[in-house]
Amino acid sequence: MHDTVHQAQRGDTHAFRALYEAHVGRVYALCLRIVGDVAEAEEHTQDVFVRAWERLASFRGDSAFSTWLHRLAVNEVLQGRRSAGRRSARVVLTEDGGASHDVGRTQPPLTGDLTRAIAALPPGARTVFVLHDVEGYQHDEIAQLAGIAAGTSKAQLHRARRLLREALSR
Amino acid sequence: MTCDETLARLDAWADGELPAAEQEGVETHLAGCDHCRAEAEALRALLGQARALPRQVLPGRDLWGGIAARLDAPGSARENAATTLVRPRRPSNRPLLLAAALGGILFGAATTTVWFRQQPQRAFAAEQARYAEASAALARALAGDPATLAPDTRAVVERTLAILDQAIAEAEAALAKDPGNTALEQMLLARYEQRLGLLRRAAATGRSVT
Repeated sequence: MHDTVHQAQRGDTHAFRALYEAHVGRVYALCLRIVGDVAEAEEHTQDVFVRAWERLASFRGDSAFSTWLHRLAVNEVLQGRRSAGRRSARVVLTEDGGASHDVGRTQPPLTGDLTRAIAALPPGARTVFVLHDVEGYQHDEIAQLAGIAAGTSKAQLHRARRLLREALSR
Repeated sequence: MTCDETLARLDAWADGELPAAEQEGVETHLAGCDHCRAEAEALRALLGQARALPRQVLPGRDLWGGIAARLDAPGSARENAATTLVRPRRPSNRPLLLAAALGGILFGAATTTVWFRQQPQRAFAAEQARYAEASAALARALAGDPATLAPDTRAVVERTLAILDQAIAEAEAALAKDPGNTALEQMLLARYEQRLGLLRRAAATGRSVT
């Protein structure tokens, strides 16, 4: 993988495709869980890899490439980078979290009760739950990544867990 | 500890974030309260399910085509970023007033803020490449027209440049660990602009002297 990264850094798109094939599942899973929408997750995934291509020169091997790419993906999706045609609203990380469903979302063909319940969460609560409880980020990291207070992250996590337990107990 | 007090602490308890005394208080309450214990078990079950979710989910269609088309787009940030990023040599042979140098730094910081507001959508990599190109041009200009610089002034300027270089190195290292962090990107570009401002002042001072 190290050689593949170096080849991609030198502009080899075949090597970069190999990186895409190796990591697309991880990146798409993250995007899909945070945005809860198939079309938007696909666009975010494409944006992540284009941005990775642009930023490859800054990857210095201090961490694993997968770690670097994952962090870039989190930044990308939290910044709500969208193409002109993207329909759903930017991820909102305020206290109230906004509406539970965005207009025009394409609901994912999700399998599993928990996955469905996560997709139905309000955006802010969903984002914090995915980053904290699925991806293992700490509140101070989420606060820094999302530009919110750590207390807001904790409040959103509390809300997400309560809503998920209610949804799963039905 | 009451039920309300216990339930209010369940998240922190499950995450192991409570002080030892409170952790013990919660567990003591849970041992004797069926309702709160059921809540705690439901929470733990939820967290277990979350951790067990598959780490990879493949998209329903191949996304590579859309990505590949954007990699080769004319004028892409990658094309510009391919420029080797080399900082110019210090203008140690150039007549330069310290006040002008510091003025250039302050001016650069102020104008950088306006510059970012005016051009929010310009790609970071393109801006980074623009800095590299401008730095290299200034370095070539300064190297090609050597002059004298008072030793004391030179020392202060070199220290100022060293501080900027250190700040740039730290920002680049932070960005390498946190790619795509726009706050870091803007901080780094601001440092580039400060350094460019200093070099421009050096070049302008030299032209006015000669």
